[in-house]
Amino acid sequence: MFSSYIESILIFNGIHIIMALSLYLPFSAGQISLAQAGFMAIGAYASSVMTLFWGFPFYIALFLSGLLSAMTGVLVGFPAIRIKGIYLLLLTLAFGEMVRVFFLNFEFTGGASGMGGMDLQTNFVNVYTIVAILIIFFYRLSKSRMGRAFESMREDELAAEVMGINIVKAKLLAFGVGAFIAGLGGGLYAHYVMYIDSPKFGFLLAVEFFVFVVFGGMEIFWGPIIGTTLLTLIPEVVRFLKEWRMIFYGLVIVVLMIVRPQGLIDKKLVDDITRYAKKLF
Amino acid sequence: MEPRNKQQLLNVEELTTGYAEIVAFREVNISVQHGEMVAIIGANGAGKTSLLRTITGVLRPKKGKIKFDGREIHNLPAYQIVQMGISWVQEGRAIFKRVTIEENLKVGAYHRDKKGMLSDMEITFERFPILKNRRSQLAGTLSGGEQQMLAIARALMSRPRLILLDEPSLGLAPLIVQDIYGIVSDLQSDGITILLVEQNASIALKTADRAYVMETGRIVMEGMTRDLMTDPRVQEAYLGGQR
Repeated sequence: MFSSYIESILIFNGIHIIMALSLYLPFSAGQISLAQAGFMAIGAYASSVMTLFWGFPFYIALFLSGLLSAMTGVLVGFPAIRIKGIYLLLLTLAFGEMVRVFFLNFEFTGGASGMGGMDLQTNFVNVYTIVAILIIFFYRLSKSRMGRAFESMREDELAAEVMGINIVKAKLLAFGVGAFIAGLGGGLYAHYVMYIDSPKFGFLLAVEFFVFVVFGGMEIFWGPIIGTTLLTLIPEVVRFLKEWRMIFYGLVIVVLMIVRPQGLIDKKLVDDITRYAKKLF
Repeated sequence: MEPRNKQQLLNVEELTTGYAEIVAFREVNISVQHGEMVAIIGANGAGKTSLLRTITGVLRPKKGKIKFDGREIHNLPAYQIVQMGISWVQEGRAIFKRVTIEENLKVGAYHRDKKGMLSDMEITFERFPILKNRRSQLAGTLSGGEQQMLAIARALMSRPRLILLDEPSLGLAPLIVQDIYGIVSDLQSDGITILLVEQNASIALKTADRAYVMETGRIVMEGMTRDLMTDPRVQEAYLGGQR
C-alpha cells in the first residue's frame, strides 16, 4: 500500500497513539501517570511469552496481555486513591522502573539479552483498527456518565466526591483501563519489532508519551491523537536538518507551550470545527 | 424550646473529629428537624466546615454518631451519603469551572436516572433563568453570585432532603447576598431541610429558624434565632453590638 518506510512510520505512529491514549485515560480523571511504559512492557513481554512459548494465537495473546496489564494497573491505582499530584508522578515513575528492572533480571523472558523471534503480526490494518475502536470508545466515554465523573474529578476531586461519585472505583477503573490499552500497545509493538529488551521501556519512553499528551492537549481525546501524530512525523519530515532535527523538535514543543499552554487541541477548537463542518454540509 | 418530640431528620450526637492529632471540634450535639432551617454561626476556625465535612463522609469522626432519618451514616462513604439525600454546597462554591453549566448540573445528578435528570434540569432552569440562557457556557465564565447559584442548583440536582450550605455569602456583594438568601428561603418553602453555616451571623440569624453558636470546636449556645438575636453575648460577639 505504502512504501515500507512510510508504512513503518505510520505503524509506529499508531502504536504511539495507542500509548498516548492509555495515558490520557487516567489523565482525564486527574491521575498523572508515568507508569505507562511499564504497562507497555508487561503487554509486550506477556504477549510474546504467549505467542512464542505457549503457541497462543496472536489476538488472544494480545487481549490476555492487555488484561494482565489492566490487573497491574488496578494494583498501581490503589495507592493512587490517597496519593496525588507530584507524589503520584513519583510513585508511577518508580513503578515503571520496577517493571523495567524486573524484566532486566527475569531469565524466563531472556533477562538482559532480551527476547526475540516473535512473528510479524502487527500491520497497518490491525494497528489502525484498534486506534479506530479506541476513538469510538473515547468518544462514547466523553458523552457518558463515567466520562463526566472523570472530568469532574480532574476539575475538583473533593467536589466530585460529594456529588456522589465513587472516586475509589473511578480511579481504579481509570488506571485499569488505561493499563489495558497500554498492554495492547506493548503487544502490538513486540510483534512488530520482533525483538524486545527491557531498557526500551524505561522512564524516557514514559516521558515521551507524556509529551505527546501535553503537546496535543489534555481536554479531549483528539489532543493526544493529533499531538502524537505531529510529534512522530515532525522528526521524519525534517530529516534534512540532520543532527539539528531534534533541536527543531524541541523548539516546536517550547513554542507551542508558550503559545497554547492547554495543548494544540482543546474543546473549544473541536467545537468550532464541528460547527464549521455542520455549516458546510 | 419545643423540639425533641418533633421528627428529626439529622442528629449529630457527641461528635468529635480531628485531623491527625489536632481536634477540629469535640462532643458536638446538633439536631435538625424535617423542614427546618438551622444555622451554625461562629468565627473562622471554629470547626464549622469540619463538621460539614464529617456529616458528608469526607472526614471520619473520632467519636460520636451521626444519624440521618434514624440511620447511622458516620461510617458510610461520601457517595452513599449523597444517595441517601444529603447534598453539600461547599465553601467557595467548588463548581467545575472548565466544564459547561449543563455538565455541572448533570454531575450533580450523578446517581439518578437520565429521565429524572433531564426533567429536573428543566425545573432548575425555571428556578434559575440566568443559568438557562448560558447553559452551554463554561461555568468559570459566571460571576461570583451566579456561580453560587450554580453550586446550589447543582446540589439540588441530586434531589436532597437535607442541604448543607457552607458560607453562601462568602465574597459576594450585599445585594447578591440578599438574592442568594432569597433563594435559600424559597428552598425551605419547597420543603427542603437546610443546615446553614455562616460567618455572616446577622443574615444567618435573620433567615434561619434556629441556630447554634460554635466557638473553638464546641457548641456554646443554641436557641431560636429570634432569641439569639437579642442575646447580649451574641450581639456583642457576632452582630457588632456596642459595648
